[in-house]
Amino acid sequence: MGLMSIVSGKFSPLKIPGCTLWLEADRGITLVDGKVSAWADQSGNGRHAIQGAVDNRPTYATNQLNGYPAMQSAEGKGLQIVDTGIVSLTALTMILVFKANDVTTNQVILGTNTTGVAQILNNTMRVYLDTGIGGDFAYTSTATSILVLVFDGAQVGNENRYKAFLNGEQKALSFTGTVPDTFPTKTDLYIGAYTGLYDYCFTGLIVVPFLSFPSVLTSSRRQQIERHYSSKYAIALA
Amino acid sequence: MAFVTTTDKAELEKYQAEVDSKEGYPEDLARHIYVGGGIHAPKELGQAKHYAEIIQHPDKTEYALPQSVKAEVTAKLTAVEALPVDWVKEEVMMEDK
Repeated sequence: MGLMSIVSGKFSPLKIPGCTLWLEADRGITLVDGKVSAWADQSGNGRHAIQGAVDNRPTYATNQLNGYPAMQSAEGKGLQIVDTGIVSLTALTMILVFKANDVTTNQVILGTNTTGVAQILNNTMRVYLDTGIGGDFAYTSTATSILVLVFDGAQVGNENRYKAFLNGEQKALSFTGTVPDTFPTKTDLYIGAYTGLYDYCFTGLIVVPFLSFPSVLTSSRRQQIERHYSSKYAIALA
Repeated sequence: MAFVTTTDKAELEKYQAEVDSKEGYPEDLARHIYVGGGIHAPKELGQAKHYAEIIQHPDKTEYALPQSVKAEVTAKLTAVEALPVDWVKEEVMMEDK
């Protein structure tokens, strides 16, 4: 009965225990003159992404991905989540859904003050835990993508501790540095940007910049989320 | 738009208040519109409170600059950190010409 109640009915990340942060482009948006001033956390934890500087506000675009709205990010535009409280975890699962305009320039989809948690550079997706620690895999697509990052500090070895799934397929990461057994402290996060100066901004559409759980989701849970966003945003899964 | 370069915080705040008043800041929250279902953030969280933001040079000199040129000028200030302060001020003031 418990499991049935989880898998039946309309999907919501909140049906999966432990959702710590959930931003989605058709929910919780605050607009001023067509620009996004706030993007509310749907998890109930109040980790809202905000932008109080008029010139740094991204545009909100309707009817973009499979008919759904999206945040149109561009150079100098982004949102900040102040004090995420996501610090030194031993396990973490993060999900992002986005569509890049190009894959050659340096663009941060999700960043911190010191590094890009997920960034695109020269046909490569770079997923970082901290400066100098992370992994790369080839990324050449300008189609809508689902990226799932899984950190499991209880495991041994880089490739066991940190994994990346693109559109349902696990990618082989080319690692730099040694992945620690706790996720490095992350306080402030930036959506579509990097640092408070809004450098290396993502150019494209973002619909789910951050959906996170403080645990390693089981494969079936992860696939449930991937199937949901695949259906919602018409993304082909591997 | 004239720039103010001064270390006098009271003068900067006076300038800031004057410009904000002229430009209509803080933003009127009635212009903040909720879109989509679900939870929404309090409108105050994303409210723009100033037209210009005060930035500080490594030599502690403070500048009140329009948001539109803040990133550019900040980058310039960082880039010329080792040069004489007067030169930096001159460069910043040139933006006004």
